[in-house]
Amino acid sequence: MRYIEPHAHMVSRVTDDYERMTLAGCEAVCEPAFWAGFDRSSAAGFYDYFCQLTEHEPKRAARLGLKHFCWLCINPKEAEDVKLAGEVIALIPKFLNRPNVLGIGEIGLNKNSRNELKVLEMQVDLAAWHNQLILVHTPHLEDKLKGTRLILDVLKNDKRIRPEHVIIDHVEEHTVGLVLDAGHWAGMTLYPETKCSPARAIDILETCGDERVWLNSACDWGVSDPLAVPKTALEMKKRGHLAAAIDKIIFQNPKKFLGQCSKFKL
Amino acid sequence: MVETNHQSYIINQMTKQQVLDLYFLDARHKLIEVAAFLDRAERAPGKGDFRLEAFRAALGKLNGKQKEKARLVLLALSDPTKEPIAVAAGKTACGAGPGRNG
Repeated sequence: MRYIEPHAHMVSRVTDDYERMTLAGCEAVCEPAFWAGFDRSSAAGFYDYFCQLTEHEPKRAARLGLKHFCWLCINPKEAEDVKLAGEVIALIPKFLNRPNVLGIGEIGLNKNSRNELKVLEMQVDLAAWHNQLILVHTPHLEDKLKGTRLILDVLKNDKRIRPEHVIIDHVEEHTVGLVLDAGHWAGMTLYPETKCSPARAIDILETCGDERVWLNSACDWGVSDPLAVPKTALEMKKRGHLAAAIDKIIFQNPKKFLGQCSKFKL
Repeated sequence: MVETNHQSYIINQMTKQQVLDLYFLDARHKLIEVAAFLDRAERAPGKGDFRLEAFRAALGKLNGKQKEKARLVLLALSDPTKEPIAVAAGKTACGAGPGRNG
């Protein structure tokens, strides 16, 4: 079985995880820029992080024969400081030509504050200006519905943004319809407690269809599973879904979306 | 009410019996955990807060024949407000919306 892991924070995972993913059939892993668990103290911290995503992680993945791609941004949890955000955003264009950079992400909202919204708009503008794909993080738990609506409004209001160039991640039953109706792609994240379970993700597929959707683990430094995608594929098999249908979800769909960036080659 | 006009199509491979065979025991376990959580909360001294209220409201969505129970539960646990907040005081979510009086 082959698959693409379209959202994993490998900087927080050990090399054993790369090995396990490769053994499970992973052909490419894509890593959005995210919150490290603490607030970085300056733009220089982000510069080093972007170097880690574009230089160190691809080499670490390549030792296991795995292709590594990444997304760059200032994440929503560090977006309350608009001045710092501006400094970080100014750094990003220097990295956009690196061979494994796919676009801007994971931008979005966390607590749905005005400053977070301002920084989201700044990064949507950056993506539009540089013709980049966008990967969006939607907030957790009670903040998700409100945040998803605010995010969709920002994207709709920027006429340069092509809806099919945006993947809105971490959808659940109450937000997936909004995202798909807006013409974007929808990502279901298989993460304990705060996001979807494999069973629920498959339920969503069975009710919303298999177009413009993908599965991901978003594994990070929290309790999470880098093999969540192949395990969900197994669950699909238990339910009687055919191999071709499973391949569409875990390989063809992410390949289609990510292939909109010419650098994404397997 | 969450608006959607997304046309769905069913790729349902399982019969009801197959759903029960595959998922009943896991769902039974989770139901008992929910019941035990409520027992625990009721047994504990002191006052609850909006989270317990929201939890009970969400439980009510499981009754009856209404469809999309998971979506309704998520809506019941969501922040219903629409405007951005002035400042993010912290980084974490708590699991339930502030309610109409929050």
